Formats: sequence, structure tokens, C-alpha cells
Amino acid sequence: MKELKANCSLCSLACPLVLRGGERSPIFTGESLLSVDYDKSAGSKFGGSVCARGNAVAEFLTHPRRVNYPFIIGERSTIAAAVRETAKSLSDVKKEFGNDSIGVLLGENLTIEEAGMAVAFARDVLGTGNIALFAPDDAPLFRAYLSRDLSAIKPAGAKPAGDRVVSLIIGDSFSEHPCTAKDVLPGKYGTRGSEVIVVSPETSRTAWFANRHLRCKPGGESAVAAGLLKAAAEKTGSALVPDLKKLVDGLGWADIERAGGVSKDALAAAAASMLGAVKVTVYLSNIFGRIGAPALAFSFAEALTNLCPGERKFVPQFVQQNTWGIYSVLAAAGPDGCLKKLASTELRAIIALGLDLFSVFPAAPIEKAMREKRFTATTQFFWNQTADRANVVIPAASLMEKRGTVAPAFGEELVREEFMPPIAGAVTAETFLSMLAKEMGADLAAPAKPARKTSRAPGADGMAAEWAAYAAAQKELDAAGTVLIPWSESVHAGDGSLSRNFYWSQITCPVATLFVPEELAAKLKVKRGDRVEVSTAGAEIVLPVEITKKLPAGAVGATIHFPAVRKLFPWKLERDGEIVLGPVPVKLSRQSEK
Amino acid sequence: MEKRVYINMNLCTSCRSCAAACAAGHQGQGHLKHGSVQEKATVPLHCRHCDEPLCLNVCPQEAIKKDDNGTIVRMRNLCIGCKSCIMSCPFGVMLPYSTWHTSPKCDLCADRLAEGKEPRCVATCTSGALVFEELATIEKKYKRAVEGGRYFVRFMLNR
Repeated sequence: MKELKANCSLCSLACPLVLRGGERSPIFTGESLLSVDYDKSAGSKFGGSVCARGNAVAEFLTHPRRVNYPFIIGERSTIAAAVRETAKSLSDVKKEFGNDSIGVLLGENLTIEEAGMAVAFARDVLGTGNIALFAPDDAPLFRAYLSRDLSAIKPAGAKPAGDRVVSLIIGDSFSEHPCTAKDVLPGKYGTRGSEVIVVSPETSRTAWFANRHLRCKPGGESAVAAGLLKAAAEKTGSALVPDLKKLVDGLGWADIERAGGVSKDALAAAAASMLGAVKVTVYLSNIFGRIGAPALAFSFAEALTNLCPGERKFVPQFVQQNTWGIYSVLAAAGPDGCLKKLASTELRAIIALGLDLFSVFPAAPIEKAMREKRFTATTQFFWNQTADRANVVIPAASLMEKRGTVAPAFGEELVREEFMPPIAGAVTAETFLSMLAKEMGADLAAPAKPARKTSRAPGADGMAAEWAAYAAAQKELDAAGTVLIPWSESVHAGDGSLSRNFYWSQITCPVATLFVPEELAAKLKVKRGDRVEVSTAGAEIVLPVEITKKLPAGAVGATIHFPAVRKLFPWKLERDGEIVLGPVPVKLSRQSEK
Repeated sequence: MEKRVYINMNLCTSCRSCAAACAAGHQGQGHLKHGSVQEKATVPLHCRHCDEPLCLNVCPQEAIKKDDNGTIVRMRNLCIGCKSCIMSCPFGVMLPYSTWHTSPKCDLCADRLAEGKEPRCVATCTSGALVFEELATIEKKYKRAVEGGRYFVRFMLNR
């Protein structure tokens, strides 16, 4: 039996695994992944844990519902015919509407080399600059990283004495990246006075463990991070970079309390706790657009970490493993307006590599674009809504089935070894693009080392304008009365089309549900199981109710890993096509009332 | 005394990785139930592998047996799916198969124990809440757990 030490491919933590493979006949021919084990060897990251997602790696690769054949308009076909059809349709669209009517959308399941190849394909073969990464939850963090280098902020004073350890978690890391728990909890229980500080509106799985839960308003995380930074800067008298100093000094405590919902005293106490700790780790997790203004939260949290005089570490966690790698390749290639063109239905042909547009964040613009486009080719693992609407569907190979480089964290690169060749007809994006280029009369090879933009611009440019927009959005939420926030069970695998196919998600979260706090349920006169009409600016759907004690009075949560629920969260495009997500105002009514 | 699975309630984050690993190791059918704590958290409920197991006593087919190291195992080929064991279990930790008419139960991952490894649920635990130890070791290692009952919920309450 073949055995390989590898890293999990399903999120940015890249937990170490031991994979075992062999023959799995008669279901699959050739070598297949048979089991996933947990790498318990000395020094193994997180002590060799693997979350529910990681456990599904084997289930995922050999899942009976995986797309195994190419399809042309829903009919089973061959790779050669599918490539021929794609090349012909793209040429037709180019001829009729011009080069810029074609867009290439990249999902997270590509290596850095494949992302480089996709850029070359768009530029050299299609003759367009329309190429974009579709990762709305991660992209703002990457933008904040590249556009604001805050390393000039130095620790305030000497390293404190003692052995207190403090972890600050913004978001719900234990749901989204459960292996973080092994990093955080030993600190909490290890020494007297150690603390876990959690910033979230709901009593999430992470907040359950908090010594200090800064229970903010929905979307108030950035204001809380700003408050912590302001309190730390005031206490220590430390210098921030000029733009940031101007913003933080100009923010009144009343502004921060209004936007964040956490009092000045609570923020000052939490900041003092961090400044007095011998070791501080700050985690930030923004899955499904949970955090209001995540780019702001990122920069405030990074500045706060840099101010702490003890040993310090800032750990932004990303939804998918290689979104940063792909983003940096596209950033090096220059700006594009692909998502804006997609939203304004200017794109007549779309190539979507390894992503389900409707599972990632469906919204009216995507629906409209998919209705009005002339041609779509996509690579997919499972049959989903994007596959339903595509002209050509190519079976995709996962990161476990290809060789290449990924960048799970800032400043980190990981070479992935192919554990096994793509199973049952699946092809890598590299193979698909090179075949397509050849069919279109060009010769294309994956660049050995694609250019990446990793250098950061010094200063804190643009934060003041972002804060103004954020404060206005928070004011709007205040006026709304009831706010809908994304609710994630620890079952998702990023892309909803993956997670809904797994055994464990069928058990833990089989149906889309609306979580309602007790007070609001009493006001609405609804009980568990009642069906409620949920209406936002994005959509209107009916969901069964579950009563919960976890949410604050003015907020309701909907299980975000269902595409129908994601429609409730409308998004808008800003800043070079960046998608803005976050909690939204909502109206609720009992279905029987209608 | 044989090793058993214990849970440190102070560490469990309800991530259900244990349930996923259990299912992955048993042809997609998990043997682990989860129970809720004050409607805020859910924790895995393991089979206690009792000294005097009621499930074994009530099984009309003698499909449930105690093996050499005290593990209570079910003989899949003998089980007729009558659910007597499910009804008799005082801890409510047995559950019917969703597809086959049999009643599976935790076997402490006998295949892994034979290789000298810990059960899948323990090996995968993302927070280190699940441990696979002898009771004496638990008592020695986590003294406060036994003295004040602060740290551990002992799964083998009636052992």
C-alpha cells in the first residue's frame, strides 16, 4: 500500500496528514486514496489533528457523486470533444463581441503555477485582461495586507514578566478552522491569568471558551478592533504610522461604541490584558463575510499585535488553501475589471475554473450574467448550479491529484506532491488550458515560477475612507432593527457544493435553518419548527425556525452553506471589483400570516 | 485495567471531527452520537463498554460479545436489527444504521488497536479533548479531575 505524508488541501491551516492508497477495484480502477490518518510525528502542526473537513479528503476524492466525465449541454462526452466545443464557442464569441467579452474566473482549487497559466491563457490566447479570483471572504484580507504595511509599528515597551498568555480571536475560528483549538486552549488552561478574548456577536463555538467575550453588534468586529488599538495606543503612548494615527486619534469613543456595541471600559480592560501578556496571538477568521469591513479589522488587528510588547503573532486564517497564492499572481498581473464586467453582464463567455459561482456567493448579478451569457465552460467536482447552467463541464482534479505550489499563509509556500493521478477522467486545469490553447492555435505551458506580488505598500492608505463607509453601514444596520448574520456549522468545506455531499454534513446540518434568539421568537410568536418568511434586499425565502440562546436580541442567523440562504446576502462591488459582504437588515414574518 | 475513551469537557469545541473520522473508518456509518449541553454545545457520547453491559444481556441473537480486553463488540453477521440493545442502553449511545437493518456500536476501532494506535475519534480530536487512557493513568495525570470533578467527565461511570 502506498503511503505519503502530505498536507490537507481544504483550508489555509494545511494540517499534516498521512495518506494511504491502493487498488479500490471494482468501483474505481487504478490507484485510489483509501484512508486518511493523522500525522502524529514529533513537531507535527497542531499535534496531528484533522477536522471534519480533513477527514473527508478520502470521501471526497472517491465520492460516487463526483463528476467523472465531460458534459456538453448535459450530455456525456469526451475531453477532446468538450475542448473542441469550448474552443469553437470562444472563437465565435471573440469574433462577434470582441476579446474583452470573455472572462476567466478562478476558484481556490488551483496551484500557483496553474494560476500563472490561466493569466497567460487570458492574455496570450484570449487577448483579454479579464481574469479574477472569486473568493469574496479572503480577498479583502489580501488587499489589506498588500496595501498597508504596518510593520513600522513597534512594541510598546519591554517584554512583560510572568507567564500569562493571551489569545485574541476575531470571528469564529473554532467552527471554521477547528484545529486552531489545539493552539489556543493549552494557553488558556496553562497558566494562571491566561486568557482567551473573543470578538463576535454570537456565543459561537469559540466564544464558548472565552474568558472575555467582547460581544459586539453584528458587523461590529472592526470597531472593536479599532477600540482595542486606540485603548492600547492611549495606554502606552506609542506611535502609530501617520495615516493610522490620524484615524485612531480622530475616532471618538462614542463612535467606536456606537459602531461596535462594546463599551470603552471593556475594550480598555481587554487591551490592558494583551499589553501585559508575555505571549499574544491574534487570530482573524472571516469565513462567509461574517466580519463587517474585514480589511479594516485586519489592519487594526495587525497594528494591535505589533504594539504588544510580549512575544506576538498575527494569524489571519483563510477559507481556502491557495486563495492567497492565486491572488498574489493576479495582483502581479495588474488590475482587471472582470467582476464588474460580470456583474454588468458585459461578459458573453465565462471560463470558471474550479468554483461553483452559486455556492460561492450567489447574487442577482451572477444569476443575470449566467442568463445572458452566450457560453460557459467550467471545471467542477460535483454537479451543481454552475454545472447546470454551463455549456461545457469538465471533471476537475483536486489539489490532492496534482503537483504544484500553494501559499497557505503570508510568507509561506508549500510544494504539493501529487498523491495520485486524477481519478476517473478528471483533468487538471493545466491540462485543460493547454489542450484548449492548442485547439485555439496557441502553444501554452505552465510557467515554472509565475510572478507574484508580495511586497507591501508602507503606511495605512485609504483606512479613513473605509472607516467612513463602514460607520455608515453600521448606522444602517442599527436603523434596521433586526439583522441577519451568516451562521456556520463546523461542517462546511468552503464551497457548499462540496460540503452538502458529505455524510457528516447531512447529519449535523441537513436542512437550511433560521436561528432566532428567544426574545425575538417570543415577540414574533414563533416556536421551533415554525416556518418563517425571511426577506432581505437579496432574496425572500422560507426557513424553519430553531430557537437559540447564542444570538443577541437583535440578530438572527441563517445556515450559510446552503446556496438558497446565500441569496439572502446581497453583495455589491467596490474598489477594483472587490465584493463587499456582511450582515444585512432583514424582515421576518410567520408564514401562516400570509 | 484496559484503556477507554474519556472526554475533557473543558476542551471539546463541538467540531464533530470525531464523528466524521468515525464515519470515515466505518464505511460511512458513524457510531458516535452527540448530545447537547445547555443547548449551547454538543459533545460526543461514546459507548462506555460497561462491565455488566445490558446490551449484551438483552441481545436475543447473542450478537454482542465481550472480547478479551473488555471491549463490547457486535457481530455484524449475527445482528438482526431488533434494536433491543438500543432500547436497553442506559446511556443512549447506541443508534440504528441508517441503511442496513442492523445496530452498530463503537468497537474502539479494533483495527487500529491491533496496529497499536488509538481510536479514530481520539486521534483526530482537534482540541485534544478526547483521550484514550487507563482510568488509573487519568486519575494520576489529571489529579484535579478526580478530586474535584472539574476537568473530566468520566465515561465509564458504572465501571
